[in-house]
Amino acid sequence: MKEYVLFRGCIAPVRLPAYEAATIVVLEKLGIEVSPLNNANCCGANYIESLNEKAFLALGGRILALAEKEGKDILAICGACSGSLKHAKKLIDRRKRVRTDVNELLAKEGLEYTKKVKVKHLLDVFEEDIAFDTLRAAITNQYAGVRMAAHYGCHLTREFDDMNNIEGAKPTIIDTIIRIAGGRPVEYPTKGRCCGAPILAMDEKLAGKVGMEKIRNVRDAGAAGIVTACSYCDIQLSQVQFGGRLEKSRIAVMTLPQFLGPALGILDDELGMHMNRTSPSQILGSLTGVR
Amino acid sequence: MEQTDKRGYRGDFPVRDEDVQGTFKYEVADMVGGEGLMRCLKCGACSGGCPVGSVIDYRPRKVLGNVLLGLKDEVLSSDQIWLCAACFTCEERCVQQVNFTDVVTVLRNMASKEGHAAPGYVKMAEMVRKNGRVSARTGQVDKMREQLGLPPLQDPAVKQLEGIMQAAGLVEVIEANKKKEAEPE
Repeated sequence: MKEYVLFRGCIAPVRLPAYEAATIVVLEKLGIEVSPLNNANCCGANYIESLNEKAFLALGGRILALAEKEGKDILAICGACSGSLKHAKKLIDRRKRVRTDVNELLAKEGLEYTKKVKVKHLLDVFEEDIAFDTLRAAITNQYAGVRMAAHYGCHLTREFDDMNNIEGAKPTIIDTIIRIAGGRPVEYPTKGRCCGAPILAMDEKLAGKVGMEKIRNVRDAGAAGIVTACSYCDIQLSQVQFGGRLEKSRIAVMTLPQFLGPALGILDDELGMHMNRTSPSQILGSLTGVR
Repeated sequence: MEQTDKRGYRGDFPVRDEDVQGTFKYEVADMVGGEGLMRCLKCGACSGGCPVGSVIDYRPRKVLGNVLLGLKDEVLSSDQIWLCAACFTCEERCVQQVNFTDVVTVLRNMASKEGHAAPGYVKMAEMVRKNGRVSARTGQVDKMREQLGLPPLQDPAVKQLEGIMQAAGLVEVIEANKKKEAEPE
């Protein structure tokens, strides 16, 4: 059985605990064991990185070193976290000088990072550790063709840093999972585009415009909901629908394990379905079988 | 002023000799992550795919052009380097592996040192320094976690973080930028 330490990040445990809970129960069902990474810190993505890269590398290095102490690879569920940890790992692994600097900052705590640990995002786990046949066999309650739009977070699937998606292929994993669960993945313009969340600290109105463009395109494509795999994307795509002029019909936004969970026969309560800001009832109504 | 209400920044020409610092591009290219800058052909593939550029007059190519031209003060003191969403679309499209996002990180680090960090970013960095995460814990969060059968929130290692941030020089950068903000324009 594959085992990971779960790096929760700083957004998910506070603002999106349902994502954290749903990830754990869905992975357990599919034979992947997840244990918490204790005493971890913020990964420093974007904000710390922009102000002082040395501090960013040390924060990332600390998380890598903590996981190394546990002897397990890291599973991150937030796109920003997984992206920044992979980026920090690349910079630390490739340059001895950087590694020495980082380890010097970690030495006070008796921590050391020696390049051993790997970083995976939830989508990598679905791609690499869970065979599609295993997933297919585990489905107990298929969706009856509900139309769903996949939103791939930039830092999970973009070709950059030669750690992610080296061939630059269009990501398909969320669409594949939607199909296996019985849904119908829809294509829409701006599918690969950013949700706007990283610009929130700079200009909320601008971030909202970027996000709303996506929501409108998803609606025009006739989707009942959006499936996300990043804490930031999920919160952003939900909240842009509440800003300013009230949107007539909101598009349901749910995380990948929340969408997949009910099809695996997992109870809504365990997936924190009632905590979603946008109602997933239309999507859940399309589930077949006894629930 | 919000970015969406601003008119395009096309009025900033002609460039004057005294605004140009020819060595600026080498300074940037010498930093880890800045190497790609010198490979830029100014083809504009970055601007074409930019999600921010689809909403406002924001062009990554223009930022790169300004750096290559040597407009150091303008680049480091304006909003342009802080508007990038770090979505990596341009990096994916760039035929020259300029790695615009990495170049922007180098520029932001330089600007921060001079006290020009975007206030929103300084606020978030302070939040991490104080709470160990970018959002604060509330009683409601604890209740939600309990309902979901999740373990209570952990100490996000604030003390260790402070040590690292001090030693790396981040605390100094935060303080310098807070001082700058307090100064009248």
